[in-house]
Amino acid sequence: MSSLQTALRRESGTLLKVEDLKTHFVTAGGIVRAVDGVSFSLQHGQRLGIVGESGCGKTVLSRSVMGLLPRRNVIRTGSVYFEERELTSMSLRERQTIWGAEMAMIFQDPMTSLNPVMKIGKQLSEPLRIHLGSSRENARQIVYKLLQDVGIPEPEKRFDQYAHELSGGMRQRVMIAMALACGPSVLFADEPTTALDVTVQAQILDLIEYQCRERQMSLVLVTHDLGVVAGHTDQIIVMYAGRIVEVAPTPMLFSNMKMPYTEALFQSIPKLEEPSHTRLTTIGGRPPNLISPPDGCRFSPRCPYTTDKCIKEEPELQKVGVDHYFACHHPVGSDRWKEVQVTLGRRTGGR
Amino acid sequence: MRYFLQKFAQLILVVFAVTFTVSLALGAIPNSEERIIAAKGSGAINEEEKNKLLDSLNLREPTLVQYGYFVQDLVTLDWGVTLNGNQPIKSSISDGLKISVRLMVYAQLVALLIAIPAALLAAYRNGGLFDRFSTTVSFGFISTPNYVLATVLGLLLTVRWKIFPAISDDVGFFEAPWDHFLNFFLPTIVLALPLAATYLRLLRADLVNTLQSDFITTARAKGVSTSRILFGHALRPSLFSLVTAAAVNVGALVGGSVVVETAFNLNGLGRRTVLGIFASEFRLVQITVVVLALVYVVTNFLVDIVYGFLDPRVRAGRLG
Amino acid sequence: MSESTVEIPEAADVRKPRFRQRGRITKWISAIWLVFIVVSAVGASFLPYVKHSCDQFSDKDKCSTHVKTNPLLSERPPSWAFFSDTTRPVVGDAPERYGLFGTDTNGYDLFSRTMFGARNSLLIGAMSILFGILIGGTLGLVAGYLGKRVDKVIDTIMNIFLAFPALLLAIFIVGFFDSSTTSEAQSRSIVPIVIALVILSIPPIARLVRANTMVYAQREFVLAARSLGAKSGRIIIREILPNVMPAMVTFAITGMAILIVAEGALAYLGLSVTAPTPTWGAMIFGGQTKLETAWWISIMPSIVLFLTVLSINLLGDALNEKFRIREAIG
Repeated sequence: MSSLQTALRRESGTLLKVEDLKTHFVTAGGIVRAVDGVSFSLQHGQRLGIVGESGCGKTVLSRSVMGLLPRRNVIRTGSVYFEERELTSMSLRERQTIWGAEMAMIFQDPMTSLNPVMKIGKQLSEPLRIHLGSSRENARQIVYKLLQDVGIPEPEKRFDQYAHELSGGMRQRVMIAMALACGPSVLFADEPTTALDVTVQAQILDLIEYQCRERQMSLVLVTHDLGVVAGHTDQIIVMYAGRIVEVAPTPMLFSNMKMPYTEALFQSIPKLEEPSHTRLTTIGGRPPNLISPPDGCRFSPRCPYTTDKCIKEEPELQKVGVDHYFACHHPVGSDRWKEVQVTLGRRTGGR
Repeated sequence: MRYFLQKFAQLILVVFAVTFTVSLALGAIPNSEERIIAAKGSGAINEEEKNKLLDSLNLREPTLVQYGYFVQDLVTLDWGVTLNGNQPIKSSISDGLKISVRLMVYAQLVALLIAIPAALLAAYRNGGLFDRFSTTVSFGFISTPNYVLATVLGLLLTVRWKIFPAISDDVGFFEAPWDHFLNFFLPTIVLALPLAATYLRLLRADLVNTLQSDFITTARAKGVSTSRILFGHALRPSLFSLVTAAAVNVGALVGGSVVVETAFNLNGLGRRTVLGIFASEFRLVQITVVVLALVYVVTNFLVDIVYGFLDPRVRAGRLG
Repeated sequence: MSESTVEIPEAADVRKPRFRQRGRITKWISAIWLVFIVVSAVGASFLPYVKHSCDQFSDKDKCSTHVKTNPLLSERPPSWAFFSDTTRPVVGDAPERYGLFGTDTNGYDLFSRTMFGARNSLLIGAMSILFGILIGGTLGLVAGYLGKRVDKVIDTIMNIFLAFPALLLAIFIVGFFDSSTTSEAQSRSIVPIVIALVILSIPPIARLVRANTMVYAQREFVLAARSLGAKSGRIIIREILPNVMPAMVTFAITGMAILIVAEGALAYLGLSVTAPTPTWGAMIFGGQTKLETAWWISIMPSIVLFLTVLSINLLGDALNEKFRIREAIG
């Protein structure tokens, strides 16, 4: 067991505890190891961000933690503890009592994620009627308030409308309202702003943050966009190829990032200070094949600091600073790193 | 609203075209006069009666005038009598309609009752044992011509094991319910099974598609129970193909169940048409065909309206 | 979102390697069966396992069945049907049971008759669908490509035809031709049947082709051809037709099965080619009255018909799968 896992074991009173979660898919081409040994914990009221490229396993992770994946052709090992209860061993019915009521999720594309032939009001009332046993009238009133809370005016009118009659931003607000309806303890937000206009993105993120604070809800924000997690999370997990490669409190991650992958992600964000027409930095190469991942460090084919050691030996998670772990042989600031900086013509020292 | 008017206009147009074609067809049959006389039955018939008969059918008029009279007769329900036996055509058709409609309703109900739950189960456990089994079985039923099915079932249940009567009588439901059931059971089954197979296939395909949608995942994440997801969320958006097919079949079954009606000796509308053709009962055939076409066309029209209800996006004029 | 490598794959993907194995066998059996039927049908006159003889018929027309008749062998059950006995008197050393399918009332070997019936049924089906495709396909192409007025006219006419329940339309047409012939002999030739079936198949084919054509008519390569000065006819034949072909072929195959069944239905109602010409439907119809005493007369052709239609449907379905462009799931 890694040092991270031992550390987790000692803690108690956590909201969510994930231990060595692995999710493998059986496909015609082989077994895809989408999530390959992830452990983390989430405290009450904490906001956690999970970042990584497309294909790194973050979406599968969030659904895996909730237990939303189908049974067929999916192998899930490891444990997920929600307030001391073990989610992984629960039956579907038991999980159904938790979903929506104590754990909620909002998804990426609100247009396709809302039922097109059901009125918004009915969809919103559904969790209330199922989990809280509200009558139709009661639920309606609660829904009106919910709609107001998420910033949708004229809730009475909206109640009887359909998804296609609302704008993208409004639909996402409806999704959020739906998730909040029963007052869950944790909200999973899976790329909530990716499908939205940039102008609306900030509003939605602020709304989510506000609601989390108001309702004392924990948040798990999954995204590929470092900019999104920067202002709205307390702690960030960086994922690559189904594994956690770095985890740190948000400010520390940005000020003292260790993983070259994190560094690369950070560098690829366009910066306001740079002159216009500056070429965007990208991370060359593609994510590894998850059916047969490489033996050593999974990022090494694309890492500018890679050495033979990286190819052969997989780095273990090491601790540096409070709650800051990373997995790399030649992290930012190491000798190897400094060597390469000189070759690349960059200043040494942190950004 | 515009949608409704558009469809209604199409309806009217087709009705006109059908009636016109039917009216035209009569005029195009060579030797129609001789045949009519011959069908009138044995015994000499004098000139006067002959002329009266032919005049009543307006055969000697020019085409458009013929058509005009035809429409008039249709609308005023002045449908005349059969050549052989002087039966009022109206009652003949209404009797036939009663049987055919009954059969159609029974067959549709049974078919839907089988197909909908089966499709839900098959789609939910997509690729599972029940799914593959039902797909194979329904394929088999679709490939079986109904007369083959009627023959085989007839052989087993009527001839060999003598459960059901070979010749079905039109016994009213309220007169003798059990007899009614016995008489109508086999023809209904023979019609319903291939129907159910088609419906099953259509609904299952749409359901499988819908179940992969994002909004189903959302519903799951809300903690909605499995049965509620199937019936409440997945079923409605998946009904289109099924509803189209069922609607088409309302009209198709009423007129097209000729084979089953013949096999079980039920004098439905289809069978009467065939017999009418054999007996040169032109008027009867004409009107029957028009009635059948009307049933068909009106049903399709109503279906288009129902579409508007099922999918609000269609109503709004845009498709999602 | 390009998380395609980790998105939840369709459950069927794993089943597919195994499922395909099962499907494979069925398809091969279907293909073999169909080959058998077609070969028997085509070569009925000279294949060794089909008993026939034209010698006994002075009138060549009566020889349409090409099957030897033998009154001594009337209504014999098939050789393997040990549970059935004949109700006809057994004279001399004539066998109790005979042949692969038994014999019918006239003593015709049912198996041979079925094979000749195959020839007729397949012929009718093939001819009808062929003409149907020719006419319906042309109409569809023209309507789909030229659009607007032409399209509206053709579409309306097709809708009128579609307003009649199919079988009834066929019955109507056959009845129409019946009335047209003045002969008392009431013997129907193959022509009205084929015409009826062709008319039956035109509207659906036209609709299908029209829909497909409209899809392709919008595409750039058509625009390109037009800008090069190609005339409509040329475009239709060289650009659009090859693209619409696969759908047409698939429809033709399944359509043929449907038409064979339809001919059977007509025969069942007594509206197909007259006896003694065997078609499957006619044979099933003919044996109806004898279900109790000589069930094989109806049942054996029924089985053959069913298997043939099933095979055609299976292969047509497989063809459909092949031509369909697979969309990435999930």
